[in-house]
Amino acid sequence: MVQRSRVTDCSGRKFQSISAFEYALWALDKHMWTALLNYIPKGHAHSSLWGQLLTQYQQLKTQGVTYQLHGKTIIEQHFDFQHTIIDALQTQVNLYQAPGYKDFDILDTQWRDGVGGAQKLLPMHVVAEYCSNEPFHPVPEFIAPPQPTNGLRIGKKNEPWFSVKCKLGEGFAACKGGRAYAARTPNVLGWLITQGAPRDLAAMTKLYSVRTQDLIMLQAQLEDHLAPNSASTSTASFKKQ
Amino acid sequence: MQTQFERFPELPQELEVESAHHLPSSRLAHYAQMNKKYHTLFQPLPDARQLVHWVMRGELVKAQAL
Repeated sequence: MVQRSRVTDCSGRKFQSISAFEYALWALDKHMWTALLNYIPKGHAHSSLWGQLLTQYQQLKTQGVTYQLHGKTIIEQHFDFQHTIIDALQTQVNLYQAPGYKDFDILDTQWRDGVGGAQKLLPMHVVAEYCSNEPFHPVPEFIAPPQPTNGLRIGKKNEPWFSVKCKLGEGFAACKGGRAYAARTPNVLGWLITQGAPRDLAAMTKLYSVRTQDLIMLQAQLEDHLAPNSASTSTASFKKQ
Repeated sequence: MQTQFERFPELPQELEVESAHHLPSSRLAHYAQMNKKYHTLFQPLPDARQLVHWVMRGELVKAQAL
């Protein structure tokens, strides 16, 4: 769990040295880090492991995680929801809601390239939320793990989000809105029917907020395992990016 | 690679482990079976890679099983 190795994730990020626990923290994958931690047997025999987990948590908070993507080196504390999917969806909504003449070519291009491109960067747990059968409207609380589904709906079939032949970010973006699935949506008219873009934006903003808070609260949980009889007074803070 | 690996005993342990990070998992698994020292050094690496692999893919059950 704390052993580091060199890996490449589904979006093509190359991590030279990262552990399973660190990746779950970086991705803000609460359900994964909870599953990993639940697997540690109870008792004092594993206090050194809890110490290593807390050390990795602190290192993530102070130094971040380094990876390469498309030839650029990036250091960040966690997956950047704000400057990827949230900004892309916000741009789309702003473009559509701006008064006056609308250039649908620009809107459609930003939808496919901007939103679709950002969706190709999503960690798998965010993809799982998109592909789960719980609609994004009303905005979910994002407490329970999403139910596994068959991926992205394309016509009458489903395709994996990250498959080689999937044209996400090139020919279309994924949209969910009030539906119980994420579907291929090639242009603005596709999401207007379900008001998908603003609803997906609200859901992604909420998910980011909830998972950031989960990560902050994790510090106290880790500290409690090292000092089980003392109340935690953690004041950890991960700044939003 | 085989020839280079034969010089491993001359390296400090940290370099042996660092070099091992650049080997494919199949080769690591093979080396881990060569002797007790390499088993201790290298056996955790394929397991760690496999665990991160499942974590990255959001495979909760497979990650826990490992």
